[in-house]
Amino acid sequence: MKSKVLAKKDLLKFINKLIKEYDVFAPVKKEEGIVFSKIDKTDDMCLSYSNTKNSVKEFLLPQSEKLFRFAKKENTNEITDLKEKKRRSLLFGVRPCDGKAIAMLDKVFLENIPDAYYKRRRKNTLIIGMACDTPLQTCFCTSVEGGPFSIEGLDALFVELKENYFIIPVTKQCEKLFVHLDNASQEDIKEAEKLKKNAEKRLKPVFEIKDIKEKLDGAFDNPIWEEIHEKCIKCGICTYLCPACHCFDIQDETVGEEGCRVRNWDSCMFPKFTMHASSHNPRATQKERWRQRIMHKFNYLRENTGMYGCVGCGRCVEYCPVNLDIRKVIRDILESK
Amino acid sequence: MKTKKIQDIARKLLKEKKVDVVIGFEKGTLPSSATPCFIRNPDEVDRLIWNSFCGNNLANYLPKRKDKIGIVAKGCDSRSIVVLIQENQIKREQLYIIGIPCDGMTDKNNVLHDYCLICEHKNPVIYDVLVGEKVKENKAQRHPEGLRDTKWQKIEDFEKKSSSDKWKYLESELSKCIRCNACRNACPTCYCKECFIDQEKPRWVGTTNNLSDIIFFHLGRIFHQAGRCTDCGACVRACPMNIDLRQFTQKITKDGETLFDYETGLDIDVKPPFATFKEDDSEDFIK
Amino acid sequence: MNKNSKFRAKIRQPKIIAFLCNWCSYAGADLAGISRLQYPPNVRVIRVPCSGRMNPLYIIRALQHGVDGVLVSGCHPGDCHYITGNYYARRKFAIINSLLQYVGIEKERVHFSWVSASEGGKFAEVIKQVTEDVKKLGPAKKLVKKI
Repeated sequence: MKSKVLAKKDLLKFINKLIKEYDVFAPVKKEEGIVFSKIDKTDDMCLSYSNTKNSVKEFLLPQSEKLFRFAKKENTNEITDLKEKKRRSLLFGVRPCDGKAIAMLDKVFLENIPDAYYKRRRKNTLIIGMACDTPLQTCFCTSVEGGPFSIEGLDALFVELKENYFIIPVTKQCEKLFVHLDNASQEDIKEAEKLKKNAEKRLKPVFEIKDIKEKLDGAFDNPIWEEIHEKCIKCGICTYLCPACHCFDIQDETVGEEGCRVRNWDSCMFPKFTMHASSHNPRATQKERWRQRIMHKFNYLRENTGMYGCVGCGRCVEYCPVNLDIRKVIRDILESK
Repeated sequence: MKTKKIQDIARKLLKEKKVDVVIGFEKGTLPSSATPCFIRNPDEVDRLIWNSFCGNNLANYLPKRKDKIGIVAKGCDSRSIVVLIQENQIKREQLYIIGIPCDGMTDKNNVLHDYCLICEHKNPVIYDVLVGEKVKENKAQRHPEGLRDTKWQKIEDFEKKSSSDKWKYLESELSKCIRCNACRNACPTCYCKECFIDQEKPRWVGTTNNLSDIIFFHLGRIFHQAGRCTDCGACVRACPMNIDLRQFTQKITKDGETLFDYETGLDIDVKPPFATFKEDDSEDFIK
Repeated sequence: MNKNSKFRAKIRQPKIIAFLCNWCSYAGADLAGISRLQYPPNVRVIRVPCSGRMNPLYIIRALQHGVDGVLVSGCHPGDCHYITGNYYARRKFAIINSLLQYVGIEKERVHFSWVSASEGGKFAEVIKQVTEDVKKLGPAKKLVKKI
């Protein structure tokens, strides 16, 4: 597929065309910061962002997803499936780190036993990325096998040049969006290459990822876990803002005699996450929970899917109320005996 | 200066085995940040620091601890410690409080937090040793938007709104909530072994991001803070979605002060408002 | 069923929950009944051991699950069966009442009263007044949980 260019002044026209056909989600400036949200007109969109506060996983794996409804009728119980959304969705402006997280979620939810709800949404969604040339000090994508221009998980990647957007189509579904655009010239390709190198230069790896798996294999009883969790306050910010965390909990919600079964995000940081019905809790303290979080992200997922469960977006680093920095945790583990 | 003194005190405490652990602050991993730390080895006390980013309320780490603790405490932290002692979550004898008069804490852009602007207890109310000179208490009721008549101006303005406007504001603020529970967990006085939102037999609050449940959670949590909130700002500082929780928690503080004449966390021997009563408490709202 | 619910919607009566303390207000309600005093049939009574047993979150929970008004009633101060239960309750009610109004729940949705075992007349009066107030407001919309 050939790379394309779109003049910057034509971007809004391009998005407007998309809005007619798709439910478009893009970064929007709100009171709480820049968040990914549905846009009805291009004015809402805000493209001067480093990264959004929420990750795009909520459009594929919503925080609370209704699975089906049930109601008590006179002699029977009635179960109804919820209607599928007809309109297709398009996520515009996804950062490559979030894109990589989607590639990871795809492995979890689409391989082996596909998850019907995830699959339905995923098939219905196009993801257009926006390359990241101004990484924040919390960013560390290059340390976890990602990159500011990575195309993994994306259907297309936009790169902001001086006057144009340089577009790299990745999948077939996306190609038709760009057929009417001009092909990129050699200069454009060069300029994009240069930007990529610059951005990567700014993101020096903060730890050696290739050592981590082996280290963690033998680290289950490492005394380092005793120290790591100590200041953790057991909230769910890190896991809820994480683009790759995907643990969930299934609950029945009822009002009166009807209700629905919902799938909610859950967090391994919550004490209740592993609570058994018998009230025994196999992960009794925050130490075990932190060990699980690190092991899951950097060891088990790597083994099962070939990818890490951390994409280096830095949200957990930035928003942790006690500055429990996952980069430092990994470094401490690597340095421990 | 203060950093050096804190380090000296901590070193002495640990060497003389007066405490098992010192809870203080160390340098954070981001610029303009500090992070809580636990020091057990006298050789490591050099990690301790003090600056205007030491905003976390360290009293949060105290409930139900069994060891002897040296704790660095600002004015608001010390008031939370008083509440925890009153409520038997920690014993006074377990604590060695390193009190620090506080000039207000700043966010990462070096701007003083709103709650520090109206703080009336910059000096620790309870301490074993004080680091530095006491600072002048600010009773001038400064308000973020300039000088105002009373410290409750923001609350009183809100009280005057129509009920639909109030509700609209509540909904617009709380619809940002992602239910990460950070406000609850960052709060030193939210220490219940099982929170009402986690209870399942029976289940009080739904588990989804349904707005009605979110509002129930916040109203319940705020109500539980009555007579216990010290307006330390831990909840708003922790909230990743910048929800204006203080607009509601301050109301509870105001009611505690105006209805029961009780200011939170000043004296461990005074009973908190819900643990006592007066025969002539106001009841004009009761038929 | 459908027809029925349409019909019901037309003459929709407010649903009011009354939390009555076992020793005074519940007996007061009883007395109102024995004395054949008429009062609106909109209240559903939940008996609590003492007004001090009232967890104020019950009020929020009731509003969330579709009642239009709440009444909490206990013994007069000084008359509590458990000596001081209602004194403690009074403080909690003061705070929750003020908090609910502060966040925009209408004042007339939530009521508190003291009704003794001998005040059958007062009980009927209170119920009349509460029902009237809630009727004026119409059905509750805020806080109502929809799934």
